[in-house]
This record gives sequence, structure tokens and C-alpha cells, in this order.
Amino acid sequence: MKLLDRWKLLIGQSIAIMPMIGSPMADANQAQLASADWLPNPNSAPPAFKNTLNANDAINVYAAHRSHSSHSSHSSHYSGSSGYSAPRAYTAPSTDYYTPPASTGSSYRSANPSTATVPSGTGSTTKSNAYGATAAKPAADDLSMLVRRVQLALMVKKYYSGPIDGVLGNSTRGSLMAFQVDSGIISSGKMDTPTLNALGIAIP
Amino acid sequence: MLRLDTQFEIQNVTTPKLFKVITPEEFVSKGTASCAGEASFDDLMLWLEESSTDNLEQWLSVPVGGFLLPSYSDELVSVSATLLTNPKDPLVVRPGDVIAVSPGSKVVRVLYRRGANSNLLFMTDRCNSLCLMCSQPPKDVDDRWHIDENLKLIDLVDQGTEQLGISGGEPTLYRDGLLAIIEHAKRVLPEKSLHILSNGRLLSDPTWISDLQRVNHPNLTWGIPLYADNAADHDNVVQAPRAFSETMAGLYNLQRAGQKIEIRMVLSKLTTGRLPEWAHFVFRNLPFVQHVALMGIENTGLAKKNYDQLWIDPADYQAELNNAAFFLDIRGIAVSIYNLPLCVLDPVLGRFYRQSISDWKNLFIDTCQTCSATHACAGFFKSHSTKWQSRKIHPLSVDDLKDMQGAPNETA
Repeated sequence: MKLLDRWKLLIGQSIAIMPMIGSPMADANQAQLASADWLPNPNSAPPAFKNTLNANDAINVYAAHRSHSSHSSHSSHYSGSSGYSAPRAYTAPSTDYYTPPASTGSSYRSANPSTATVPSGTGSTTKSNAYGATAAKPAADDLSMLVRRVQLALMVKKYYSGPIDGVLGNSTRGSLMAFQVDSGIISSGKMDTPTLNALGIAIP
Repeated sequence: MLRLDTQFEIQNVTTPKLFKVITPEEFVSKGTASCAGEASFDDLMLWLEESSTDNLEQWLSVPVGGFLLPSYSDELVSVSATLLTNPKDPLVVRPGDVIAVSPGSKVVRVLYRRGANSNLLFMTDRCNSLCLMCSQPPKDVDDRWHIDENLKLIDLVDQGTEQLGISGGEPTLYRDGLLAIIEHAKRVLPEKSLHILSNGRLLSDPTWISDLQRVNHPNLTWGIPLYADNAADHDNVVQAPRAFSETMAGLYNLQRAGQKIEIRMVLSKLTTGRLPEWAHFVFRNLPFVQHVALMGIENTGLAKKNYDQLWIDPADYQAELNNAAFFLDIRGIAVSIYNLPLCVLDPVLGRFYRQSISDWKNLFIDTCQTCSATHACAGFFKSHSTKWQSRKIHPLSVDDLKDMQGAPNETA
């Protein structure tokens, strides 16, 4: 091979390489990778479990978490009403469970004879507003509905035989504590997250 | 086949009302969360079987909207909530269903059946066409109450992916109601796909475009019937002058609004003759459609009256069907064949075949008892009669099945 041909070959190769030098591949470095507007793929996020207490971000608004630590010392013995500290402090939920729905087809709603006479349709809207005014605490109505479900769950499991009245009184609390003891849960007499889970109750 | 209504002994109903029927177990674990949308205890009806007898008194004290006692007689129970006892057919209403009751009537209608393949938001009995083969002849009544019922129904159905149909009648007749329902479904049930059956004629009004773009449902398909490649034949089938051009304009407006479109064809003596030309027309003029459904005729309603005009043995149009299906398929348009018994179908069309007849109106006949393909076959409509039966109906063997693989898809 003549010298001139060798030169031609060399020049040809470097020209071929030239475009690569300018390309982002060639000068990629860590700094660039980190600074680029890289965002995690939204589809790769773990599934969000709606409405179950097992979800990472779930907050049991009914459980009065703050009082737990004070009772953990005398956890396993039945101590009447000592597990009950009034007034109960609810932690406000971070999620917008109680946001009133956007009004769609509202003209039809109000014109609906069935929902107009039944408290559910119109009443729920005003209730939603009430939630907003009281910083998203569970309304007394919702709480008594949850208590009823707890009473029914305890009844099915033969821990409770009293009235399904939605009142978390001594009888229900005693049943709850007995169930907690048998289930290896701290016997607080409260509707806390582990207890509701053990009863198979998902809160809204 | 399971009916969508039955009779109960009913007490304490003062207004027409919808209920979500749930078992005590589901009530305890989920409460009102068993409904996809906003619901209160008043919307729930507890299903109390004999297993709940021990605690019947306590169950009946729960402040829900009603109780359904499938195996008790009503004199045993006294409550102020709505009470349903003594079902005529105990299989019609099951836990998870949404039912409708009205004062002064023993009839309970199932509006939503848990796990069914054919749940439907029924919009109206009215229609602006009068198709010769209409399975549900229109009635000229003001039934706008269906709009409210459907809005409530959307709140009470189960969560989860499945398809909900919207049908009638002609759903676009109640334009604002239909748009409100689509919007409400998008908010409450974004995971469910919607399938609207419409003749598309009113969609020729271009103001629909902005409305549909505003609603912007993520998974909505319009099933629009087009019965011919020319106005005369189409207008004859739907018994409405100018229907063809209105429907074509409506189809273009749907495309402008970015909607998913399915073209539907009902196979009859009036339509199968020009099926290849029709397929050509669809591909040339509507190449944007997602899906073409070629459907066997449902032998009920007006179809019975127009038997002579409509009836053709499916065995006699397999060549045209084959031609049309493959013409569209090789040009990239998805094709399905609905509502025909598998044994009359040209075996090479097996991959277009769908097991399509809604579970509440589907049945098999005596010939099918020895057939090995009933699990893959659409079977017959409940209205089936020998007059509408192909001479090619025969039991299939396992070997026949190897040649064709049906896939379950949507329903008619």
C-alpha cells in the first residue's frame, strides 16, 4: 500500500469518527445524566391501594393514634375504661376522602324525584361541605356507621351480642378488648388500624 | 340465560329507588365502599340468608335502606326499611347487583349484575329510526327519568375494569343527559370502558364535536350501524329518509372529535348481497374506524314481522362474509363476527368469531347437546325459533374445533 493510500485511509477513518464526537453519546458523563430533566416513569410507581388500611399512606382517622403510646405500658390487661381518654383526638387525614365531588349533571340530580325525597342524594352534598368546614374530621354520623360495622363484625365472631346502635360504649369496648386479646393485638378497646384489619374492616 | 327482572313481595317503598344488594360480610368489610361512587347506607340493601338467622334481629337493626330476605317469608319480619321477600326466581337478584324498585309494583329490575358481560345503561325507548330488524321496537314516551336512574346507577356499580354499554333506543336523543352520564362515568368509573350504541344521525350536528372533546372520556367507543354502501339501501333498512347521509356526516364528526368508532352491520337478506362492496366503501370512506362488527340478526321485535324481507340462511352468505372480512382485515381494520352459531361459520373465519351474545339472552338448542364447541360458541338468542335456524346447524367435533379458535370479546 502506498503512503498516500494510507493517509487517505486514516483521514477517511477520522472523518467517519467525527460525527460521533459531537453526538451526545460521545460526551455523556455522570453530571449530564444527573442534571437532565429525568423523571421516574409514572407507570413504574408501585400500585396505590385505594381505601385499604394496608396502603403505606393510609391514615386511620378513627384510631386516635396519639393515645397509643400512653397505653402501651399496660397493654395486656383489661382495665375497664382506663383505655379511654376524652376528648378523643383524631388525626386529620392527608388524603381528600371527603372532598365534595365536582358537580356534574347537577340539574338532573336536583330534578331527580327519587334523590330529592331521600336524604342520601341531597344530604350527602351538604355533609361533604360539613367535612370541609371541620377540617376533614370524620363526622359523628360516619363514626357511628363504622362502630356499627365493628359491632356486626364482633357479633359474627361471637364476641358481641348487644344492640347494633353505633355507640362505642362499655359493652362494645369490652368485646373489642376481648377480641384484641385473642388476636394478639394491644388491648386498647379502640378501633385502631390493626384491630380493624383483624376484623376485616376497610375504612372509607 | 338469566332474566333481568323478577317479582318479590315488597314492603315499604314510597318512591322509585335504586339499591345496591350486598351480603353482611361485604357490608362489614367495605361498607359503602362496595359502591364505586358516592353512596350512603340508605343506598344499601342487606342480603340476609339463613346463615344470618342467629342474629337476624341485630342485622335488621342496621340502618340501611333495605333488606332482601331470599329465604324468609315476610310475616316473620317487621321493619320500617324497604323489605324484599319471596323472590319468584331466586337466581335473578344476587349480592353485588344494583336493583330498582317502584311503589305499587312487585317487579324488581336488575340494572347492574355483578360479573356479567353485558351491563348496560339504558337511556331511552325512543328512536329516530325504525329499523326493519329492530330487536327492541321504539316507544314514543318521555322517559327522561332514565337519565337520573343511570347517574345514580353509576355511583352504585362495582369498581374495576369491565365494559359498560350505553344503549336504547337512540341515546343521543337525550343529548345533555348522555353527556352528563359520560362525564359522571369518567369521574366515578374511569377504569371502565364505555360502548355507546347510536345510529349517529344526530351527530351530524357539528356542535357535538366540541362537547365530546370537552367531556374527553378516556375509553369510549361509538358503535354506529351502517347497513349499505348507498343511501337507498341504508335508508330502507332503517326506514328513515336521509338517514344514510346523516349517519355518514355523524361518523365524520366523531372522527373530528377524536372518538373511537366501531361500524356495525346486521347480516340479513337486505344487506349481505352487497357486503363486499360495503366493505370496500367502509375502507375507502371510513378508514379511521377502529373496528368493524358483522353481526347475525336477532330474531325478535320487528325482525319477526319482517321475516320475509330479512331472512337468509347464514350458510348462503358465507362467501360474501368471507370476502368482506378478509378485505378489511388485510387492510388493517379489526373485524369481528358476532351472533352466529359457530357451526354455520366458514371455518377460515374462525379468528374473527366472537362469543358475543349477552349472558341474559343466550341459549343453546337440543342439537348442541353433543357439540364440543359450546364453550366457544355464541349459541342462539333466547328468541330463537326453527324458522330462523340455518340448515347447517350441527354438532362440532373436537377436530372441527382445531381449525377455528374463537375469542370472547364484547357482546350484543
